[in-house]
Amino acid sequence: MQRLFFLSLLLALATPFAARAADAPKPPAGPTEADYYPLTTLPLPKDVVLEIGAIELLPKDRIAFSTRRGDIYLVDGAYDPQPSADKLKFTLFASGLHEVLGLVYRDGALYATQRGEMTKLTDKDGDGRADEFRTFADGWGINGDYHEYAFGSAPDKNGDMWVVLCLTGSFNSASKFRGWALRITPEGKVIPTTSGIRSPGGIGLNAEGEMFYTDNQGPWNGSCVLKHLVPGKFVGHPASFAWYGDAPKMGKVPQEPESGSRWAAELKKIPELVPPACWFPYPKMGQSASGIVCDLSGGKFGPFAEQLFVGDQSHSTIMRVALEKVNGAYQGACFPFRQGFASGTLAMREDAEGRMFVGGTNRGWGSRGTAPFALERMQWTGKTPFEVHHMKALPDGFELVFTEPVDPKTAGDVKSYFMKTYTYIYQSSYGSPEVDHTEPAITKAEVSQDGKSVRLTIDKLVEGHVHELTMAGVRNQAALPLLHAEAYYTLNYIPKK
Amino acid sequence: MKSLCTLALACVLTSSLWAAAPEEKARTSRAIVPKPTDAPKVPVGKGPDHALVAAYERFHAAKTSGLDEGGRLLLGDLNCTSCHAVPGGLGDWVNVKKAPLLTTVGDRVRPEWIRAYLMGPQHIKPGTTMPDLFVDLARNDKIHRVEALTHFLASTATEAQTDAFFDGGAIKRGETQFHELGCAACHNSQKSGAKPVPFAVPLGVPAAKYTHASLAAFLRDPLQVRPSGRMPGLNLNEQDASDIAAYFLKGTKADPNLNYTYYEGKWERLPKFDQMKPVASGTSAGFDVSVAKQKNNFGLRFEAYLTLTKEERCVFRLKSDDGAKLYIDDILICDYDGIHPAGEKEAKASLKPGVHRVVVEYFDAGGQVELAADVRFAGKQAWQSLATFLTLTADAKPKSTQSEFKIDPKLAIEGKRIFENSGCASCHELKQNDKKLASTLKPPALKDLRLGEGCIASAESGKRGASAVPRYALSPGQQKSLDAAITWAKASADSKPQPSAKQRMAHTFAALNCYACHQRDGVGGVDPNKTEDLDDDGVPDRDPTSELLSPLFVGTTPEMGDEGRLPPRLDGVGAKLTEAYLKHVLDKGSKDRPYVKTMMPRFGGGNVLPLVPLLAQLDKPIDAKLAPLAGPEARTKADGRMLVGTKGFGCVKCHMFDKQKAEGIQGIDLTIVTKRVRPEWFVKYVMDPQSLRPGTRMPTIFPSGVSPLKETLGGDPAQQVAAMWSFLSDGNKAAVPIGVGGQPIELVADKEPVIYRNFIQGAGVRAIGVGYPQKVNLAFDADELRPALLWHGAFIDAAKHWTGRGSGFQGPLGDEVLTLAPGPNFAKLKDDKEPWPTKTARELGYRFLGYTLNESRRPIFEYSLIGDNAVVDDCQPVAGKRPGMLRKISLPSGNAGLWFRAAVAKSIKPLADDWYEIDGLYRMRVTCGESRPVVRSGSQGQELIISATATKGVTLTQEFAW
Repeated sequence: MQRLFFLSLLLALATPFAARAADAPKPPAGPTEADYYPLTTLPLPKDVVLEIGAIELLPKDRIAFSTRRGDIYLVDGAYDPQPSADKLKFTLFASGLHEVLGLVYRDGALYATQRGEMTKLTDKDGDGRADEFRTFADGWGINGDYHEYAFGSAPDKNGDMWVVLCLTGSFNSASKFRGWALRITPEGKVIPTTSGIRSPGGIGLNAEGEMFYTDNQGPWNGSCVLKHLVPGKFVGHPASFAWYGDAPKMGKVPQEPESGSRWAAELKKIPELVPPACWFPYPKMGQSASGIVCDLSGGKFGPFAEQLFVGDQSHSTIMRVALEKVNGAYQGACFPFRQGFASGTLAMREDAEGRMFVGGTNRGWGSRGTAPFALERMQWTGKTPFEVHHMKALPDGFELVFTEPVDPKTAGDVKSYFMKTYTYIYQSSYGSPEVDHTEPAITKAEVSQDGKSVRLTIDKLVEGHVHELTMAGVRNQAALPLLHAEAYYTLNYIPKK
Repeated sequence: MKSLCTLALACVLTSSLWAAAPEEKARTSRAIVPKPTDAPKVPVGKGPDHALVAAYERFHAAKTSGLDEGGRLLLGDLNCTSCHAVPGGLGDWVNVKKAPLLTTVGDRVRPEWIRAYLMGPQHIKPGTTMPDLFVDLARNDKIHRVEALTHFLASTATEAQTDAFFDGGAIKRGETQFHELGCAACHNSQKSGAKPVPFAVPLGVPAAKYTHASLAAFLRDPLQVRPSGRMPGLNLNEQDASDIAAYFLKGTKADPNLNYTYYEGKWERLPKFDQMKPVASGTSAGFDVSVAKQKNNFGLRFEAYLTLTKEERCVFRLKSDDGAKLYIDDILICDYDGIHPAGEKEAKASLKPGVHRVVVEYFDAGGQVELAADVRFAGKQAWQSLATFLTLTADAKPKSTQSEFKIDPKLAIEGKRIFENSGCASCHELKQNDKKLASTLKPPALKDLRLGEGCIASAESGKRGASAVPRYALSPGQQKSLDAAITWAKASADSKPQPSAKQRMAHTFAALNCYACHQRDGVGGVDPNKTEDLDDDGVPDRDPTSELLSPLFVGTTPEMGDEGRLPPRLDGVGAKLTEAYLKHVLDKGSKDRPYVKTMMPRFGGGNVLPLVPLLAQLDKPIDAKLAPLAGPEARTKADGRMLVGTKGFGCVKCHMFDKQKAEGIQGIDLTIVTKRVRPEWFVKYVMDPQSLRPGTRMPTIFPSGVSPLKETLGGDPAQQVAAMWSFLSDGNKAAVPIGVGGQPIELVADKEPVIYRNFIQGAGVRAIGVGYPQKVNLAFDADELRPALLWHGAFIDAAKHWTGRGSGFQGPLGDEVLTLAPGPNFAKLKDDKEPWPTKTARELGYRFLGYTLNESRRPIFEYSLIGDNAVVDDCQPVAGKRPGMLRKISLPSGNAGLWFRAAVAKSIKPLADDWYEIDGLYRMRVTCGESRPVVRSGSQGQELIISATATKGVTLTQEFAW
């Protein structure tokens, strides 16, 4: 059989398919992501299975890593410019915990979010290993389903740590508070806070101290998405309604959304429903949104200060999200940022110097990064990539702000841009294709005086739609194209002015 | 069991003699021709008032133009062309549905049903395509002819069938299979409250038509009697066919065939019923526990006779909750005694020919009630209810379903003549002595038909013509469509062009109802995300047909979404599947997608194989090519193996490999890929999955066309794809790639204890496993605040939780596992008479506080009962050849009325030195200051409790040895 193909083949085609790939950007021409944000692999000891679930910074340049196997390692030497096996020191602080996906250091103790509880770990005798494991909060249920993950956040401005709980499977909430975000007060009290969660992949704060989490394509989520967690509100999946009786401060049970509707329509009917802050179109941006980190390094991580960086486990990437507030709700655009991580990106952490640690695992879920687990460090070289810094919605279009001045000729030409819009079906069955497509005309592209922004006039914007913008023709003054020419803006609301 | 073989043989009845013997048929010469009112009532099905042809109803019923296309579909499916000869050259325009073969119809269909059906086919099975007969005759004449036909058809029987019994389990399984395997795609859901689907193929009332055995046989191979593939074969195994048949025959009421005696009481094991006075006795049809007079706490003893004509090797199976035993000739065959949840136990036995006395004893001690006794004879796959073969008395025969109906040979002969001269033989093949009966009816050719007349005209229309013509029940739309098709056929019949490839493909798809499951060229199938503004209000509406059909398709993996439950779209299938595989799938059926519950049925080669060249001709070849291998084949295959495995692209994470499960979702088995798909399709799909299957979750492994694996084959994607193809071409001979099949991950306590918090079988969701270096192990249940399990030897295998997604419960890896007292160990009681509370620890307000590790890293558990003071629970291994466990519990003061429950067991026997033997499995000793243990009866058996009241701190000890 095989030999027959040999005979019939005339010519080998090298890689003729890339250009047609629906979800792949153009092959890199000129500078690449690595020229601005190189990755450094941290070598791991042979016997350490570091399927990183959470990362926490400790005093004295130590970093704590918790793993899906339930270990917590304290690592010295992770900041070394040229890390090598002999410079990195791993100490097994604790083991035998149940899939730790949240880690907070406070007052000399580590707070670990396990599937079934948040545990306070202390090293009383100072031998470098935890010897006291106090149940800090366990006011939620589990029943043995693998979906029932619990992701823990960093403390918010009140000192509360948030735990976001995956449903039992995709469709049900069989155990207490599954499908909820809970706040754990510094005293260990559990406050049910937000309902409507499906299957989180990470939780984190933005620069203003507001809590966000990522949810994944499935029932009531047409695609993977970043959502804002607001106390008392509902973020979309109604299976969580089962537990309002245990959450008296949440008020009445929200109206059940209508399956098959659209988010824009349901937002008008259900006052508790919070719009999705940013869709990650499936599978163009990713297939499994995960950890969230906000750049608070004050410029040490490059020009994207205070923006959010969100992992995608399946694509082994980190995406970038720039949000704004319109009509009192967060919305904004996501951009490709960095691909090529060694394993499926799950947990990330940035230190004050702008060094971002990225932990990967692909157990149970395949990823482009082929390593079963990995620890990498991403840093900024100091060179500014030519990128859209952020995208701001206007009543009749968008303002694009770039990281450097553009070439006025190409950036001022409407033919340099292409826009289409679509949304997702808001439905109880699994996922949604893109629906209700439009291709609005870009009627004007006006470059600002300083060349750093472009005002696009669009005929016309569609409320509730993702606006997918391709900027293939835009060049900077060195005639280079954008490092990433795609942006996806989730336009829940069109600003009035 | 051996002694059974020596049982005397008594009876010489053979199983074929259970049927009405041929001479018996002949003896009963005087048939009683029932008047219609005398005839046993036959239940009537639901459906439309006209012949239902699924694709016609779905795609043509609402049409107002282009009617001839739907008409041609009807010409084929109503079998018009069997009587009315088709003009030359039109054959390929009409896809003829051959009527069911009737050669042995008497074996599979009950004569009472044949009679009722022939009197009014549309009445008995609304929607049937069978025409009404003798409509122009006087009623008595019709009744007589129907009777004669019935006797003739019944006389084709070669053996009689017996009634079967089936338990609720078979009915439930059959219901599930019917609704998951794809039957419902054509027939709609049969569950109450299911939304009606206007084009669902009606089923009539199978229970009135078939016996259990004949329906099961039909379901296993429908093509044998219905060769046209409208009812495809689902490749059911014997068990599934039997279960689905049971589901359809669930309502049938059989005659009693077992004697029973009924007792009331509460037991832990079966008592000696024969020494007890029954509360009631009587006869029952099958092992029917509903004869019990109370819901729980009763016993039943069934007794009946099994007659065997030859020595039989049997496997018997008891399924029960609670205990049951099966005796044959007073020998205990299967012992499933004791209180237990629903479960099953099998036992083998060889039985001599003759009559055997069968006794099944059963008791219930609360909760669920279930009893089934099944048998599987050597050489058979399917379990059947043992009751099917049992009789009330030793000399009775199992009841024949046809015993009521006596064949009159004279009438049968007359019926044969009617069969030949009334047109029956035109459509239905019926062979006698291997010779097909010929129709003597001579209807006009299609080109000579007058529109709206003859067999499609109503009895009142006056356009019926010759009085022998049958009458087809048609909707007004069907009338018009047929008229259009006949007009089309008459017009210049000889110069008609042949249908195009696309038309021929679409005809076959429509006639075989491929469209029930599959979409092609935007026609048919289910598209739950299809939206269209149907009412022009600016808001997109769902496709109503997809809405109706969508719930009929289910998958095993909800998170795969629609891709994981809907049969695939067939656009481009001719360019995707290899010719050989396409043939295989159409002719033999397949079950390649483990996640989709429906399977591709078998349509019969002659009906579908013409599709193979059509699809290959219609679908544009994929513009991709497999790159020639740059290196030696063997080395490239090794590279391909690496790429497919978890050190490469990890295909095996989501795809099965030679029937071995993947760790995530279960995608199509990789070892059949090269047999299934064409190489160019594979190349393009791996390069860019979305281009061929938009929306698929199959990820792109070459983002931007670049391979992340630079080391292998120079990082050249084309070479890497070719290498994977080359490797996979070895099919199930391919070497297993890395990442397939789990390796155990044993956790070993070497110098210090190992802790494992996870889902542990028997210790709950918040279990804390502890393996001690002394080779004794503990699983502490942090929900119920109790040691749940103790065991010796190896600690635990973490592979279940550490290689996949972490689902499910893992039990101990070692041996001699002790299951300790359930529920919280502590409770406040008034006195030692108050029953132990049934509430959970959380409901009682107890809290788990965590644990500390002592200097030897041994966890010491802490929890609060009422108040904040912690109970400190230190479980210490006791070293030895058979290591034990010592539990020291420090209690805070102020525990007035607090009791400790040390054991819950069937038996608690005191031994020397305050030790107790628990269930004969282990020894236990408990002390608490001056308190003395009390053994008492509790709701779950015996309990050993001890007062833990303390005015100041006190230590309670509990020792285990086994």
